[in-house]
Amino acid sequence: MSLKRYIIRRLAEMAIIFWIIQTVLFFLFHLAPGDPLSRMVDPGMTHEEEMILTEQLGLREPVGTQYLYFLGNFFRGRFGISFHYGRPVARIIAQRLPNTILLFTTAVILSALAGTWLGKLISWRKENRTDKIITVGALVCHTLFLPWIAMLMLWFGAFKLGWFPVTGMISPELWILPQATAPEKALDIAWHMILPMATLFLIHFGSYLLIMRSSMLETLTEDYIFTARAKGLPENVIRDRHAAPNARLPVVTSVGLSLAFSINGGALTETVFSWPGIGRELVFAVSNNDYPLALGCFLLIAAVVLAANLVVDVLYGYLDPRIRY
Amino acid sequence: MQSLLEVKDLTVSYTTPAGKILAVDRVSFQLEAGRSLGLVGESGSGKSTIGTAILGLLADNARVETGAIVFEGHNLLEADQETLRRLRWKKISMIFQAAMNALNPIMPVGDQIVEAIRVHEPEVPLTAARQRVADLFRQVGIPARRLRDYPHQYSGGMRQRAIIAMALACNPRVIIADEPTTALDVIVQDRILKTIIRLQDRFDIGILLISHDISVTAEVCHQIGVMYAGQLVEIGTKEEILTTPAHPYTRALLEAHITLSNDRQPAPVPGPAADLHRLPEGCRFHGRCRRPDANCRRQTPSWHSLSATHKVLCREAESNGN
Repeated sequence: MSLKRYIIRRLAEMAIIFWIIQTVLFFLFHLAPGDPLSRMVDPGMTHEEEMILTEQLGLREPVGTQYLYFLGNFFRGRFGISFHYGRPVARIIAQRLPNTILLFTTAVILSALAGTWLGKLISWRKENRTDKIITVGALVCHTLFLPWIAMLMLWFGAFKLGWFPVTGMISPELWILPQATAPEKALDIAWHMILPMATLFLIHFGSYLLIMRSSMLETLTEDYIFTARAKGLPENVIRDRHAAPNARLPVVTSVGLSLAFSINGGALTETVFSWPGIGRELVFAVSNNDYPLALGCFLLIAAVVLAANLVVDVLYGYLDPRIRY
Repeated sequence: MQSLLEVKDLTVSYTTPAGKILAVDRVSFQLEAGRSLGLVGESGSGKSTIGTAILGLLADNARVETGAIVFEGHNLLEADQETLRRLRWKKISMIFQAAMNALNPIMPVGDQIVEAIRVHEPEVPLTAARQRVADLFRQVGIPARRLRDYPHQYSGGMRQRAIIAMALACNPRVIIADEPTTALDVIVQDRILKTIIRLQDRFDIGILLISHDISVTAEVCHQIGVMYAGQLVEIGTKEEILTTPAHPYTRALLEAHITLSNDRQPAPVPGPAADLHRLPEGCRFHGRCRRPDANCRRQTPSWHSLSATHKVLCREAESNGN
């Protein structure tokens, strides 16, 4: 089947691109200023101890050899040990990733659904007041500066109203209780999620609404929309069955890529809300010269973005019958 | 006897950035059941605007200034949107140009026709509607198994046939065919036109055929109207228009079309097409006319009847007729 062949070809391409990204990242890290040892070396250490540590971390070898070790380890599923935590990078990422996915993927999906739905509705009333107000509102949301709105959310939701927690993902005092049930824990996470989620929703929602609206307006000039009118179809049928399915196509690309980037997208949000996810870990790793951890995070992001591209392309084939592989 | 469809004194204007223009200027004609009228003219002559005005689907910047469109005794220009919507396709349907994107690219062709049936006849069950579409496909010469295919999987000729099948789906009284064969090669064009003629006979439909090609209207239509710069300039039976054309523009159009039957070279209509923003005084055609006189530049021509069915908007006919 041709779709199978297409996917295999794309996977091969992706492997090559991934290898290039790996290589570039590896050498970039070596060019970066700062010395990972300086973070670990105790002033009380002797010179010999320092040398042993350097040896253990493999930092004494020439860069080329280090690169080969790095690649070799990668293919054996060893992504290195975090300098800071002293634990395997893979395990740290595996711990943080679900938190990020929970928050960001949910936020992107919710805002995409809401944005396309409202974008579709208001495109049908173009030029009237509701359309203008909502469009300007969406533009404002779209251009909001994320850290600012995040701080504002905290100030209002957590400080002023006192309804929501200021930081974190869980309330330790609840989770430590042996009688705490799973629904209680889930509710606790949801309660912590509301503020960061609202922030992300606001930021993404506006752009999906604008994309969907302009895509709808473009679709409305198509001949088949005239045909649908001439056929005497009611307006809501024209909108939902003829205009929207066609207008949705460009939005799919945008949502797919946002989903991919949402894995890391949270550096700022996660930092402001102290959400224990990949983004915050990445910021921490980079500022502390934790090469293996930072590399691991970056490679994960690269892999997810590449995979999301493939998924979007395959999905397109289902949404648009004209596309065949 | 009352006509099936009567257009009376229809004037439609467009507001453009360069000013307001009259795309259709006091056009009147009648269409009888089972007959066909061809409207022929260059692009910009207003012929397509008449088609969209009948369906009440004029563009946002268009406005009907005067006139009436009377269908089965009701003036469509006074009907509300919901009445018009119910009437569209059920009573008056349209054959679009297949080269255009007239079919939704991401919906199977059969479904697009079934949809029209189900909207106007909700009592028809889905399976019956599908069966009807399969029958229609057979009528226009498409295998019924192609119902599930998407428009891009069809050839140009097949798309045109599917669009004709779609126009017939609700047994309409009138079909407006806007350039139904443009962009098809001559052989396919001929087959499509024959299909249209055959179906018209069978279903007793009134057809308004809009084309820039006078030979297409000559093949299909009982009556031909010639349009120039928004005005109807001559109307008559096919025989009258082809054998005794009275308007210089009609003659020029007849000379311009290509024929295989004799050695005559096709002669293009001289001069540039009319600019609706800067219409000349007097007769609109005088700048391109072969025998204009001084009065043509000053006086607006009026209608002259040459027979019960044949009339022309030209001063020359006046002098010849008397």
